[in-house]
Amino acid sequence: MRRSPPVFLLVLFALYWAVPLGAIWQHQQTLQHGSLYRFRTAPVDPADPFRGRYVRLDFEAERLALSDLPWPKDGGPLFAPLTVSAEGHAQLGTPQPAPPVDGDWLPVRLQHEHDGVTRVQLPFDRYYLSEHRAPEVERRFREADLARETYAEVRVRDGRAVIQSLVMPPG
Amino acid sequence: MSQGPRWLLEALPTLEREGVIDAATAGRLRQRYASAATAPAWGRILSAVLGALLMGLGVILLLAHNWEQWPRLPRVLISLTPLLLGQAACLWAMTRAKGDVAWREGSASFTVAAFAAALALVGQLYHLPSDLDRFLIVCAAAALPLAYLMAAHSAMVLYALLVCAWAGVGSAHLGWTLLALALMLPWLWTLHRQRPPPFVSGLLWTALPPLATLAVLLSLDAGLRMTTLWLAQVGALFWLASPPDERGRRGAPMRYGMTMVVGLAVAGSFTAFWSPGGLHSSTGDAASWLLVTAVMALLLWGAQRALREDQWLRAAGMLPATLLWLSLMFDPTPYAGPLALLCNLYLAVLGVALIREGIAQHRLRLAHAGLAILALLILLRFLDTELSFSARGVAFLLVGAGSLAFSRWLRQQVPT
Repeated sequence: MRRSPPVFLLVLFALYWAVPLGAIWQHQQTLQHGSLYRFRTAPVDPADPFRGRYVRLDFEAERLALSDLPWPKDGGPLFAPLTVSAEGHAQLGTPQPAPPVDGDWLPVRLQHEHDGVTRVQLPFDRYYLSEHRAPEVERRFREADLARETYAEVRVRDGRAVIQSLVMPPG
Repeated sequence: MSQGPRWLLEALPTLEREGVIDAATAGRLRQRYASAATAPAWGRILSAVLGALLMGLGVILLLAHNWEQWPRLPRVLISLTPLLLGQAACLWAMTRAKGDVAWREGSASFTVAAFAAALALVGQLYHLPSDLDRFLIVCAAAALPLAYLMAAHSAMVLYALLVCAWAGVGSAHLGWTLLALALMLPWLWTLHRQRPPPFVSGLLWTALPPLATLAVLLSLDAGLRMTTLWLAQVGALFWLASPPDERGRRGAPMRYGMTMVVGLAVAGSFTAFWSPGGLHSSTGDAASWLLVTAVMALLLWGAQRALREDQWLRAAGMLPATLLWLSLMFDPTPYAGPLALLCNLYLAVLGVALIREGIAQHRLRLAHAGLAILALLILLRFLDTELSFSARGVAFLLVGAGSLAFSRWLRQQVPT
C-alpha cells in the first residue's frame, strides 16, 4: 500500500486536537462568563464505561405545569426562557419554537405530557464524581431526604449550559 | 539486528564477493527467500496491536476513575498526553521505522484509543450528557483517515467495529450505515489489487469449510446449545486434523480449529454461559442428535489415538466440545462456576503450551498466538470483575506493557 506523506498525517493530527480542545474552549467560556442558576435536583448513581461514575440528576425544573405545547415534528428542541423563583431556584418559562431575544434560555426536548404536566429534558443530566464518592452521594441523599436542599449550580450562556458544581448540605 | 531470511539476503552480496557462493546460487537464494523476508510478521503485529489497545483501555479506565480532587488543567493535560504520545509514535513509525508494520499498526490503534479517551474526558470534565452515537461516529471518523494515511489494518478494523457499534446503538439510519461501510471499499479494493489472487484450491479450502459449517448450523434448527456444540465439534475436528503445534504445512484448517476452539472456550469462561438463559434448551430432532453423536464418537476416537501417541495438545482441542456435550446430557446450571473455572484454566494452560511450543519449534507466530490467548484471558477477567476503574486501569497498562515486553523477548528467543 502506498505510504502517504507525513504532512497529511500532521493535518489529521491537528484536526484530532481541534475536537477536544474546541469542546474544552466552548465549555470553559460558558463556565467563566455564563450566568449562574441553581437547579433543585435529586442524584442517582450509575456508571459510564468510558467516563466513569456519575450521579444522574433529576431536576425539578424539568416538570412544567403546562400542556398543549407545540411539539416539534422532527423531535427537535424548543427554547425555554430561564427565570429565578422567589426561593432562588432556576425555573423554566414556556418553551417556544425560537430562542427568546432577551435573557437566558435553554434548549429543551419535550418528553411526555400527563395530567397537565409536561416533562422536558434539559441539556445536562449528570454530574461526574470519583468512583468512590458517587455511591456515597446517592446514599446520603437517600438516607437524609435532602431533596429540598440539593441543587446543581449551572452556568448558562447563549443557550449553552455547563454544570459548575453539585451542592448538598454537609453530612 | 536483522534475523532469518532478511539477514541472509543482506549477507548475500558479501558471501558472493568473498567467493563463498557463486552468482547463480546467490540469485537462487534471493529468489527463494525474497517473499519470506518481506512477509509481515503477523504474530508481532498482533501482539503490538493487542498491547497498544490494552494500554489504551488502561488509560481510559484510569481516567474513568475521575481524579476530581485535582484541578481542571492538570487533568486536561494528563488526559491529552496519551494522544500526544500516540501521535508521536505514529510519526516515528512513518518516518524512522518505515516498513515496520508492527510499529505502524500498534501506534495507529493506540492513537485511536487515546483520541477516544480524550473525548471521554472532556465529557467527564464538563459533565456532558451521554451522546454515545456521536462519540462512536466521531471516533470512527478519526480512525478512518488514520487507517488510510498510515495503511494501518488495525485502525481500519477499529473503524469497522466503531461503525458496527454506532449502527447497533440504533440511531443510525440504514443509508448512513451503508455509506460509512462503503468508505472501506477503496481499502478493500486496494488490498484486492495488491495481493496476488490466491490459487483456486486455496480459495476453496478457505471458503468451503465455514460455508459448510454455516449451512449445517442453519439446518440444525435445534436450539442454541446444540448449534454451539456443533461449532465446538467442527472446531475440534479441524484441531485434530491440524493442531497448532504440528510441524510442517499449516493453513486454513489450523486457523479455523484454533479460532473455534479458543472462541468457544472463551465463551465458556463466563459463568453466565452455563447459567439458565446462557444456553437455551435444545430440542433437536433425531437427525441432529445423530449427527452430533456421530461427530462426538469420531472426536473421542481421534483424541484417544492422539493421547496414545503422546500428542496431548492435539487431543486437548476437544475439551469445549466435550463440556458442551455433557451440558446436553445434564443441566449445567449448578456447575456453572466450576465449568467456567475449568474453561479459564484450559485457556491459561493452552496459552502457556503454545508459547512453549512456539519457542521450542522456533515459530514466533505460534508463541504470539499463545501470548494473545493469555492477554485476552486476563483482559476478559478484568472486565468482568468488581475491581475499581483505577485498579483495572493499572492492570491493563501492566498487561499491555507486559505483553509488548514479552513479545520482544520472544523475538529475541525465537530466530525467524
